[in-house]
Amino acid sequence: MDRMKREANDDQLRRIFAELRQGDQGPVPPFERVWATAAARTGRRPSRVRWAVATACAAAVVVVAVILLHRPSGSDFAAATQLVAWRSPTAALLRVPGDDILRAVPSIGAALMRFETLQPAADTP
Amino acid sequence: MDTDALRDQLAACHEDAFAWAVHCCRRDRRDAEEVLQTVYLKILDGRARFDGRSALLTWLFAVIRRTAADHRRRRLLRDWWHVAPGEGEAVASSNPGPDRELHDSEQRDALSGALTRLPERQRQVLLLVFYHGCTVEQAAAVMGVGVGSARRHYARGKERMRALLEELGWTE
Repeated sequence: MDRMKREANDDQLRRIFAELRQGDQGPVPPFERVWATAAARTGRRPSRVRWAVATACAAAVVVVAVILLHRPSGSDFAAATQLVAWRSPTAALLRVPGDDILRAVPSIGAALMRFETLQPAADTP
Repeated sequence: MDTDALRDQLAACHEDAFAWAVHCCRRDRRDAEEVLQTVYLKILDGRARFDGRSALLTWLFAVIRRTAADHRRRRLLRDWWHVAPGEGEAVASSNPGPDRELHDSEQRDALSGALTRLPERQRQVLLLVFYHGCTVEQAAAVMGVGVGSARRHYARGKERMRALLEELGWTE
């Protein structure tokens, strides 16, 4: 029953669209004309290479503009130099005797402190 | 397939192609001709190549659908760029609508009105199946969607179409 109803509805739609198609019998532009106009346009389109070059140039301009806009100014550079040169007033308090040992890299096989013995060497006559 | 053989086949289905282009261009015949010209240009340029995986008409319809969508987007952009505020209405009214060409028949008016109120996909699948005689599978290929999706659009479109026709007072 459901299927019959569906088919009847489809038939109705087919009839409706057929009527629409009949009403659409307007003039169709001749194939030869449309094809010839398209053929005449073939050379006028910019090639992909040109597009690629144009895109690359535009990208380069954007990159240069961004670099120029974000380049540090003279006053920024002076401030950065001052910041690097700054030392804390209490930095001297952090220095303790013997901190050279802590800063230096010890070499393998060498003692940090040298001890000298008072005993004479065994082979001494 | 060489260009001459393809050209002959395209000439054979030119009328069907133009009718589909008219539907894709919201029934504007001038736009449809421009679109078809661009489609042929794409074929000549090699931007659209027929690889024989589907029927020629199915492939051609798919190219027309995509080209018409591009054309519409470009036109919208151009109108948005060129039309000053307040001029939009005048431009829209100068565009021939679906009703102008079908004003001689009340029933066709009702049908075209119902069609324009359908969502894009539903409208396309119904036109492809009932107007152009495609199968749902072919319609799916033209629309660039899966067959399941096309079937859903087809079923919903028919339901909605019937409801709209009843609402618009369609009588057989």
